[in-house]
Amino acid sequence: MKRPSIDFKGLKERLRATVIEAADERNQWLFSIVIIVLANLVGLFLYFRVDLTANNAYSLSRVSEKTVSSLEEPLTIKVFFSNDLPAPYNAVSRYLADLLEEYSQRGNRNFRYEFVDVEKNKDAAADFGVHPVQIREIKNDRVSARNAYMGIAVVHGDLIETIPSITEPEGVEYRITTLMRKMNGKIDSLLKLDRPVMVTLYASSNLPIPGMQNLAEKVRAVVQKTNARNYGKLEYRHVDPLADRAALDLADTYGLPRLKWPAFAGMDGRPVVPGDGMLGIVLEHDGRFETVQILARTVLGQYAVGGLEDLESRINGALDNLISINPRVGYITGHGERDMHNQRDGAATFRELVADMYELKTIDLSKEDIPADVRTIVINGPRSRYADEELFKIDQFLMKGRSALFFVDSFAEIQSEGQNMFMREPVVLPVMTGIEKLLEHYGITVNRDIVLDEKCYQANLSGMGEQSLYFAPMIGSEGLSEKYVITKYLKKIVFLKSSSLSLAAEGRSGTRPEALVSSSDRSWLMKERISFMPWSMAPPNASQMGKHVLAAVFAGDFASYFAEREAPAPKGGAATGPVATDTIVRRTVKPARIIVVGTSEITTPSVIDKEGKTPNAVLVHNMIDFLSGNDDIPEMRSKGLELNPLRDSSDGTKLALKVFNIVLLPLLVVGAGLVVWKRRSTRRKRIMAEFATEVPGE
Amino acid sequence: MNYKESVQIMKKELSGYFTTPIAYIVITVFLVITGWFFFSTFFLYNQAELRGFFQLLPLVLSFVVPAVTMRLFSEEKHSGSFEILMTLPVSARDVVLGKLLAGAAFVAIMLAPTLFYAFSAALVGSLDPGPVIGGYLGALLLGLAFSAIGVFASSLTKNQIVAFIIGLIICLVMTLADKFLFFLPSPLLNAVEYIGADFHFRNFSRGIIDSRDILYFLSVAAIAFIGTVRLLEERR
Repeated sequence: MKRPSIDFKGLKERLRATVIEAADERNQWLFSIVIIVLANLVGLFLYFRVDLTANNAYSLSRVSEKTVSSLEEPLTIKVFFSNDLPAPYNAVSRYLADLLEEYSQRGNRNFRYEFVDVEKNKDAAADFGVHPVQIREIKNDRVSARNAYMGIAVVHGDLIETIPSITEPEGVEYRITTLMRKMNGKIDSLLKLDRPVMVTLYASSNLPIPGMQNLAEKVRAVVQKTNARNYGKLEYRHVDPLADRAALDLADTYGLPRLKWPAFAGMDGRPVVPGDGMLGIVLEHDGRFETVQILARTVLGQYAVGGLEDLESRINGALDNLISINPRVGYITGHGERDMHNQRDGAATFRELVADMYELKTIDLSKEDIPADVRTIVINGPRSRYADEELFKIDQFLMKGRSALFFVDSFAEIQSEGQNMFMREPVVLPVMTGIEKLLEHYGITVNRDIVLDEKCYQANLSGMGEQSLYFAPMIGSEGLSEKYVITKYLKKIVFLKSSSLSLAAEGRSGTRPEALVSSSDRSWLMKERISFMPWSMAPPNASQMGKHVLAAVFAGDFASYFAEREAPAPKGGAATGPVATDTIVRRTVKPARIIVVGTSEITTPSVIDKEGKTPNAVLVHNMIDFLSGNDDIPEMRSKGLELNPLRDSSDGTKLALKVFNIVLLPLLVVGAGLVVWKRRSTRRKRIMAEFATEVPGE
Repeated sequence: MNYKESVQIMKKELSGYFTTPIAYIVITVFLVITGWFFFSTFFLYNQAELRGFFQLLPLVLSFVVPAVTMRLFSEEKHSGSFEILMTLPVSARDVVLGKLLAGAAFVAIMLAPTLFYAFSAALVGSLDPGPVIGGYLGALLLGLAFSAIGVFASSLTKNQIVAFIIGLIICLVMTLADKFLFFLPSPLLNAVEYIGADFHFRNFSRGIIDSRDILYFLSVAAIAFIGTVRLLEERR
């Protein structure tokens, strides 16, 4: 077969002729325009951007850039914002538009965003789970409330997630990016599932409570909708424990409510036979389960089916937990640590706070080792002693270059029980856990004292007026380390009942711990008799006051606590064969990170919220981010448009500025014009006068 | 290219503006319009920033710049001085560059009093200087591009009104190009958006300097400049 031949010589000649013709002066203009167009085309791909705003509000953080430029499936952000938002919400809307434009600039072809005309598409907003929120509006000097749409929906592959309300610019990028990352992770996890997730409605058909009619069909419809948005990985079934008595025993296994009732007359007057039953939804996969409660109490205190209106999002939430999208953080239990399920003074809020990025996994060190996929552990307010073997596990975990967050209480308050329990002062007892000696070896000593501070939270106590709660120091930017991202972007936080920390000088174990949070220089220590009654503490002389460290951090290499000690014998006994290993890692194999806080009170709902809005919540979340190696996250969370509201100025000032800029400024220009005209006319007259005698007839 | 000649021509044109009432009338009208629109909502928005002012600029300059540049060639053609200019030992490029620089310098002078807006905003709030600097840089580039278009329109005709209308239409189309995207099929969207002047200016007004935006404005000015030079050389 004859191969087609290319006439290179002719081609070269023609190219040469074209260049000569283009270079011809007459055609140069055409040549220049072609070059300009080409330069613009090249410039589309080779470009730079400089953000001149004070806090780089429009520059996406590296995490966001990476997330949006590596999308593997189409992702669309639908913005449902009302058009006529009053200040300051209009600034939020504009900032969101600018930020999405930045995402679009950095994103790959899978990223899109669109503003939906929400007034014309209210049904679409509701369908995506975006509902109006109440905002404040000032009209005619009156504050009124109105409803407005301020939410977004993110559609990624089959998944749909919403951020129902974005009412402030702070942390918008963080919320969008973490949602994108979460959805990315969820798609991966869902696609990897080899078997469907079983969604079972356990509902006894004989339950004599309102809302049972067509319940199975209603739940089926919601599950089907959810299924369509989760790659068809859900399978629904309904179990009626009335027909299948064995199912009733599962109530305890799953923690579902089991109800019993005697014979009584129903609302319609018909007799109800005594019986028992159960109600709830269980999602199961691979031996793990999550429950969704649908039993609620009415305002009259009666039981009824409830919570169906947001059932889809609750099933979605349970599914997220079940397929564990987020990296796991170990939560050590077994020594009276703050309970992860206690909403009142436990760590339930803490768990919900970090759930947007991390899954807290409980670990009982007396029974199990720290799983290999856990990078960070949290020890939150233990009350009883750790066995050496448990300390060994923590120490060796750190030697592998992992991280740990210690909230250590030196004292525990015990509320006396019995008569007049609320009148009596709680007993304060010292706490010994063994963790202190481990930390002391690492260079941080938790002292047996409580830091009191003049710069503290002011509370309005009934009957006593405004009281200074000296045990609740308010810490401003001067007490927050600027070196670490954990505290760098915070402005003000509060600490509660914290012990002071002493930091070892350099050289002890190789790394020098540094203060992360310190009290003001008007603080002092309560040492002997510890009492948290506000009247029991009074500021001492200025000479006894000084700064104290409340939280410390260190990151780097250091020696094991057990390096020069005998390692505790493992539970199963020593190896019996002749081959033995040196089971101790004596020094960190790579840099580890530790944070020690002198109190566990700052993880309770009294100072943190699950949405992460309070500065203390941001602090705690930042700690986990830092320890988990997500150093970019705290910066992103702090970032938002620096809203620059005008200072309060009088109406006179406002009017003066308006008059100056709208009226006086143009008048000045007119004045300048008149001056020039006058000078020119004087000059003309002078010249005319000079030459008038020479001009005949003038 | 002889820059000395261009600078001479620029000086002559600029003094022409300021020794006649034109400059004062145009600047006064410009200040009244921008001052009114900006300050009527400034305290309502309650933000210490000049974005409201910068957002007005593409539209306002679409009217003002062609009005300033319309006379640059049209008047010379109308009065007959154009022929004299063409016989002088200066190249068409020098002449066009001089007139273009005069237009751009006029826009810069016209913008100068608006620095008082920045002072006013700084007086009642803590103004972030970054976006203000970005905004003025963008405004100068926008002024340069629109001046080049105005000069081009002026070289097309000896009637100043016709020159103004041609300049206005081109500037308006460029300003509003990305506002009519919903009419267009999706493959054209990005191309038309790129042509839009307001689309590129928006980045400057919020404090972002993007090399693509700078390249765009310089390209628009360069293309209009080349077009004008070509027209003059043809006539020569």
